[in-house]
Parts: sequence; structure tokens; C-alpha cells
Amino acid sequence: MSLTLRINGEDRSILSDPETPLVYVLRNELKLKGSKLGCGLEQCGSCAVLVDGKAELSCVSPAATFEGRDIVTIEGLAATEIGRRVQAAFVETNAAQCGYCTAGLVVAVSSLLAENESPDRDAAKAALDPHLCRCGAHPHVLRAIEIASGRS
Amino acid sequence: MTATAIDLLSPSVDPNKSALGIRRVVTRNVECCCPVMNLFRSAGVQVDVAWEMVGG
Repeated sequence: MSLTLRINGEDRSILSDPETPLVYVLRNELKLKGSKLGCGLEQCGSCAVLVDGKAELSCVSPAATFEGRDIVTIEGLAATEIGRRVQAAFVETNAAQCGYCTAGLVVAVSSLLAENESPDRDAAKAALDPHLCRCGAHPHVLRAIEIASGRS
Repeated sequence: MTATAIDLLSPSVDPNKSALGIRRVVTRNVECCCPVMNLFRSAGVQVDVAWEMVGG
């Protein structure tokens, strides 16, 4: 049974079992390695991708549930104005340390800024609550959001 | 032993907050591929960091 997913603006035919969680399809079949598999339980946020413009976790939901929806991975974010702005802000503030959670964070921040152009710190923290970072990059990420949103 | 890495970066952290979040209690026990989490774990240290702990 084949499946077609729209990923980063392109329709991609998928050979994996439709029940395979999306992140495995992205990483193993499509070789889009930017989305990380962290916990596999939707508890860490490292697998976040944009789905119809909003951040969603991809490590549990079967790939088939994303059919007909517009998926943007971290690889495709640079094609968007918000994505470029967020990536530049992360670089400026050294918001990546080990980098494992960074792709998910960039996706989540891009989703946040698409909904709220100028989130305050509390809104930013709430939006990033599903995302774990064990390096302690949190203050840098919050600073990146301020820069990307033009608050500083 | 519980280490809170964010304490090093944000002196305004309220350490009492770390015990209150149910979600965090769940997530801190999740097996994760994050290399830093596993580095701390291999040393017997549990790192508890959450966004609401960040000051400012």
C-alpha cells in the first residue's frame, strides 16, 4: 500500500508501512535527518515538524495520518521567511548547544511566531513547554525568540 | 542526586518549582536519545530543567 505525503512543498511517495510513525519515514526512507528521534513517546519535542503551519510531534502518529496535510521539516523551514529569521536568531544567540533538541525548537518557535508575531516570555515558555533541553540552552532560546520577533 | 543545569545560567530560578510539575516527573524518566541527558544519567545525575524554571 503506497502513501503520498506532501513534504517541504513536494509530493513524496512513501513505501513504508502507513502505520510507521512519521519521524521514521522522514529519517529512514526520505533521508530527512534533521528531525530527531528523542524519546519516541511525544515527551521531548525533538521530532517536531510543521503540519499545516503548526508544530506537531512526529514520533508516535502514523505517517498515514499526515496524508493530505502540508508537512514542513527543519530542512524545509529555510524556504520560509519566519524559518530563516528564527534560524538566524538561534545562530546569533548561540541557542544550540549539543543541538539534539534544536531542530524541534526551531520548528516550535517558527510555529509560535506564525501565530503570535511578538510573544512575551510567558507565551514563549508555554509554547516551548513540550520541548526538553538538557544542555540548559533555555535562556539563549528565549533570547532568540525576542530577536526573531523584533522585541529587542 | 538532582542537578539543575539551569541554576548555573539563571540565578532567579525557584528550585521549589521543579517538584511541582507532573509532566516533568514523567518526562524526566523518559528514555531519550539526547546525548546530554544520557551523559548525566551515566554519571548517576538526574537533570531537571523546565522552561518555567528560567528566570526573567
